[in-house]
Amino acid sequence: MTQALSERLIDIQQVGKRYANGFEALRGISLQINAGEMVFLSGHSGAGKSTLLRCIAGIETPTSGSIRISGQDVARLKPAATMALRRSLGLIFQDHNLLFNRSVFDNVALPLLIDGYPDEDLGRRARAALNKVGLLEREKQFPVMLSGGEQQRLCIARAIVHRPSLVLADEPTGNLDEASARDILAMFQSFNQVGVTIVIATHDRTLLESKLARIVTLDHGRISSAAEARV
Amino acid sequence: MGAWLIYHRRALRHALQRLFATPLSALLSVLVIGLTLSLPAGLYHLLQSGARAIGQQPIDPEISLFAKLDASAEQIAKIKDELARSEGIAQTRFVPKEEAFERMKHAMDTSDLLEGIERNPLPDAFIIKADSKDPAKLAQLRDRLAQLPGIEHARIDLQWARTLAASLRLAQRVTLIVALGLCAGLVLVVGNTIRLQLLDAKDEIELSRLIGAAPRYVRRPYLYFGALQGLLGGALAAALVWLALKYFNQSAADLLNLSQINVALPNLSSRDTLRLVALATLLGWLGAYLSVQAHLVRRAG
Repeated sequence: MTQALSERLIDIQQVGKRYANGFEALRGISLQINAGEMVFLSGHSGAGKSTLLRCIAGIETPTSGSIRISGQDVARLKPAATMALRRSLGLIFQDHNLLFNRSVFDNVALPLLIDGYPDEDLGRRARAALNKVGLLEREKQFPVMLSGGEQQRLCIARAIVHRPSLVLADEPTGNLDEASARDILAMFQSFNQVGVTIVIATHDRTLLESKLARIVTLDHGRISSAAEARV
Repeated sequence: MGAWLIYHRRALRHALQRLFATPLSALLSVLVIGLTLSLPAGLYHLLQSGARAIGQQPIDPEISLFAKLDASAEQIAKIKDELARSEGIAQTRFVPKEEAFERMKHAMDTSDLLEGIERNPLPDAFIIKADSKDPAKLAQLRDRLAQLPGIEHARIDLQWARTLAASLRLAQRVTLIVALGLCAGLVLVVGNTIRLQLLDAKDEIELSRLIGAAPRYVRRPYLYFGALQGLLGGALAAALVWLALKYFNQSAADLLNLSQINVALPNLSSRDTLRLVALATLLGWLGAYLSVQAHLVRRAG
């Protein structure tokens, strides 16, 4: 764990993002995240948390500065390499992005299908991920039959099914009650304890007050404060 | 290689599932493809076979020289001499008017009708085989022979064969252009079917792209679907053409036989069938490719 923490996984240097309509979502963000670390990106709505996560994942391109993951400049990657990078990440989106016409199992198995896993591995890994989030018995059901917390756990299962070393989560506890939020946090903690680097964009007090992770606060696209985790 | 096979196997399975999930819609698309392809394919095959059959006929150009009805025996003898001396003539056969009249009686089998005719209405004639088959030289020779004293009319026989062959070539070209238009239509039909499926799977495609699916991963099942539709449509078209040709071939052969061309028009060979099915598969694939590509570009934009 100590060795993992010493390795710099994400290096963000002077990143800015200006949209075509002139809105500046990020202004000169510089941030370093080590392997095995858990980081909360906090801030009010529109502070730039989601934009920063999307830039790290290569979904959006910064208009200035650079983001390096394991030394690779994300913005300079070729399209195929960008896709390979995204496949290697665990991504949790703000609006769940679940497929409501597919079963719970199919939703979790999607990243494995994209990665071309053989059927037997695919089934084993998908069930293992569902088991981790406590949804194994619901594998044949459809997402619409799940509660908000369960849907969020399903998203987490989908994000960790291919065992990524970096998980980027955008508001994973949004609209959840405090107990469900604590469950989700405990899950992230357990993944982090086995060395998975986790970056969570959140404004959920339950998560932020836990002080289990370094908190980086964004305000109008700038880093306004940073607080170390209480270990 | 293992992953490659897995991707393709899954894409094919996915395409088959989609095909069977909406059987009526799939059947209609296959029918549209089959019917649209069968018309130009059948017509083109028929015309090509017809043109080939005409091309295979031993067409030796002949010039028929018809003497004036009142041409005397002396004039006929002079014409014979003239023809014997003329250049560019390989062979001359004299057909006396009596022989022509007898032949006509025999051919028409209406001797009763002809018995009413008091005088033989046919002239003496010469059938000339020229040295050359070149149409320009033949026309020159015909014009020269038409000037001989005692000759009423000169005609190059088998002109009709050339006219027919030219008509067939023209019809082939028209069919080809119509076929190209219909093929473009088919690409659009398949493309539209795929477009509706893409709209249906919009969320899944978007999510897949977000979590790193390459464009080819998104495209693959739709390409299989388009190709499968094309394949089935092509097979239907081949079956329809085969049945139609079997039904119409005798009539077409009879028509050509009226023009003294004894042929039996062949039906679709296995190679023709394969070509037709391959073309339809390719068109289905192309329609799907264009549709998915347009969707991906639109979504990326």
